[in-house]
Amino acid sequence: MGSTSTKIKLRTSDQKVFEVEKAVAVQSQTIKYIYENGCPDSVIHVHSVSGDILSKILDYCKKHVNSAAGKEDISPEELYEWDANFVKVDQNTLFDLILAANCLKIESLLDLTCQTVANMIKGKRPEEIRTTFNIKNDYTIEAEEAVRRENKWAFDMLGGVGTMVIEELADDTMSKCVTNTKSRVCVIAANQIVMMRSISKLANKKSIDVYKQPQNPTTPRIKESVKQRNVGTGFIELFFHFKCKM
Amino acid sequence: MMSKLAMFPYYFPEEIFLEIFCKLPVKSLGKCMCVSKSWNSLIKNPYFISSHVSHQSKLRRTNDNNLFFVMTGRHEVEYSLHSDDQEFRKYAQLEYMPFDNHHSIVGACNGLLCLMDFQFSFDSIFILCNPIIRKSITLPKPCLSSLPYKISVGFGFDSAQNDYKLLKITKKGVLDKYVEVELYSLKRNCWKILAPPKYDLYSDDFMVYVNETVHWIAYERVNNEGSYSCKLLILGFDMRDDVFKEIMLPERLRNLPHQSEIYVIPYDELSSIAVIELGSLHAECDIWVMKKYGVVETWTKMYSLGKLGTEPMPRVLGFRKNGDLMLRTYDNLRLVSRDPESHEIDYFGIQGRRTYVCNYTESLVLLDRVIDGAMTENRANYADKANR
Repeated sequence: MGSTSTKIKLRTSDQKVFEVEKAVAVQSQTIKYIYENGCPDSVIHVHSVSGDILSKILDYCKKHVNSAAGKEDISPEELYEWDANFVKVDQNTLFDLILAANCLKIESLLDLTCQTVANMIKGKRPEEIRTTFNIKNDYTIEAEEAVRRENKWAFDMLGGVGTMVIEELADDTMSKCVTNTKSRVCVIAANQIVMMRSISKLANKKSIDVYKQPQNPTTPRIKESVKQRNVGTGFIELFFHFKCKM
Repeated sequence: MMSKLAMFPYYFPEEIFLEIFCKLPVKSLGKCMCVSKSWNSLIKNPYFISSHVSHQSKLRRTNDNNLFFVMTGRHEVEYSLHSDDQEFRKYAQLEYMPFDNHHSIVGACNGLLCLMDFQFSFDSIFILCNPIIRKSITLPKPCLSSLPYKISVGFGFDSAQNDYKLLKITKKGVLDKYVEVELYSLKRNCWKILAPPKYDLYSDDFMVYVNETVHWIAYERVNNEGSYSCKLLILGFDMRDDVFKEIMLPERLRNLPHQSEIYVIPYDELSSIAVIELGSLHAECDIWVMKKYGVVETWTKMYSLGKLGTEPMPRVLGFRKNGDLMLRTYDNLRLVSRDPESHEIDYFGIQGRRTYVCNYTESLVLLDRVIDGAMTENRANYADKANR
C-alpha cells in the first residue's frame, strides 16, 4: 500500500483498541520497531499503557506530526504553548505520561514531561520536594544533617526579591532594601552574607547571623538597628544600620 | 489501570529520574541530594555527573542562558557569574574561592576553573575548583619546575576518557632551542612529560580551549639565506588524542612585523577561534574569524576596531551570544560590550585592577571526587619546598 492513510491498530492494557494513522503511531520508536519487524496487519499490544493515557499521547503525536508536515498552520510559539497546556494535568496523569513516553520511546514527549517535573522541583526545599512527590525520607536525623552540611552550597539564598548588594559597608552605614513580607531577605555585602531569617521577626531582632567567607578573616558586622516602614501593596522598606566591630 | 497515589520512587525506573535530574540546575540537585538516600546516590554518580554536563551544554546552545564567569576587584577580588543578557545581570555571587589574590585563571571547562598561583617563584601551583559546589583540588607538582622564560598553560576536557587535562609549555631560557611540554591528567592525578613540538612559544598568553583542543600562537624561525624571519601559526593540542596539530593563520598574519601583536580568543559559542591583530601603533585592531573551524580558507577579517577615545587599545576577551565583543579597557579594566558593527558601547560597571571573563557552564564535576590524603599531600609538598 504505502499510502499516507495506512492505519495501525493499537490495543491498550484495558483492552481498548485505537486505530491510528501510521505516521502518527510511528512517532513511538517502540511501535515503529514492532510494526516494521512484525506482521503489518496485526494489532499491536501496548501492555503498559491505559486507554486514557494512550488517547492523550496520540493527541500529542498527531499535533506534532501535523505541524511538522505543514498540515496545520501553527507557529513554533503556538506549538510551544500547546505543549505547555498539554502538560497541565494532575500529577498522576503526568507521571503516567512519563512512564508511557518512556516505554513507547517518544523522545520529545519524554523531554517535555520530564522538564515539567524538573520545573516542579526547581526552587523547592527538600521537605517541599518530599511532600510534592510523596517521597519517604529514609535519612536518619544525623545522616540528614550531615548531607545538608555537605551540600551547604545548595542552600544559600541568593537572588530574588529582597536581595540587596551593598558594595561597601563602612561604619554607621545606612542601607535599605524593599521587599515583600513573604520573602526572606538576603543582604550580601562585600563577600559576606548577612541573612535575615524572617521579615516578621526583624523588628525584634537585635542582631543577625553573619556568615564569614571561609578563608579570609572578615570583620563581622553587627546590625545596630532595623527600622521598617510600610510602603504599601504588601511591601516593606527595611533600613539597616550597620556598625563595624573590630 | 487502577488509580494509584503518585508515589514517586516506587514505580519510576532509574533512567527516568536521571532524565529529570539532567534538566535541573546545580543548586536544585544539591537540594535533591538531601531528599532521600536513593536520590543522593543517583546524583553523586560519575556517569550522571558527566551526562548532566553534556545535557547542560546542549541546553546552553539552544537557550539564552549563557553564563559568563567574571573575576574583578578594586580592593578585594570578587567572583561572580553573569547572564549573557541585555543588562549582563548578576546570576550569582561566588563566595567560595580557595585562594587569595595571587592567582590567575587559566581557563574554565564544564564548570571547573583552573587556577595558577604565582606565589612560589620556582613552582607554579595549579588548582582545579568548582566554585558552585565549593570543591577544589591542588594539583601535584609538575615534573619540570623552574622559573621559566616563557610559560603557557591550557585547560580542557577529554570526552573519550571523561578526563580533565592541563597542558603546560615552558621555555626555560631565551637561547633554548626547544620548549618543554608536560600534560596533567585529573584521572591519573599525575603529570607526564611529552615530546615537544618543533615550534616556539610566541607569548605568555594562556591557551584557548575550543572543540576539545587548546590553542596558542607559536612560531618557527626560518632561515632565509642568513637572515631569520619568524613564521607564525596556531598550534593546537587535541585533548582526546594527545597530539599536536597545526592550524595555519591567514596569510597576512604569518609574517607579522615586530611591533604588531596577535592573540587567540574563542568564537562562535566555543566552536571555533578568532585571532586579534593589534596594528603596529596599537591604534586599531583587526579581528579575524575562522568561520569553519580547521578550514584555513575560511579565515575572514570580520571587523576592524579603532580605539575607545584616547585610551590605548582595549583587550578583546570574547564574543557574546548576540555577536557583541567583550572588551577589557586598558586603564580602568572596565568590562564593556561593543557592537562591532554599530560601535555602540555598553558599560557594565565591572571595574577592577584585574578583570577576567570567560564562558561558564554550571556543573557537579568534582562532587563525587573524594579529596583524600593524596590531594592534600600535594599542598604539603609545596609548603615544604617554600620553607627550605
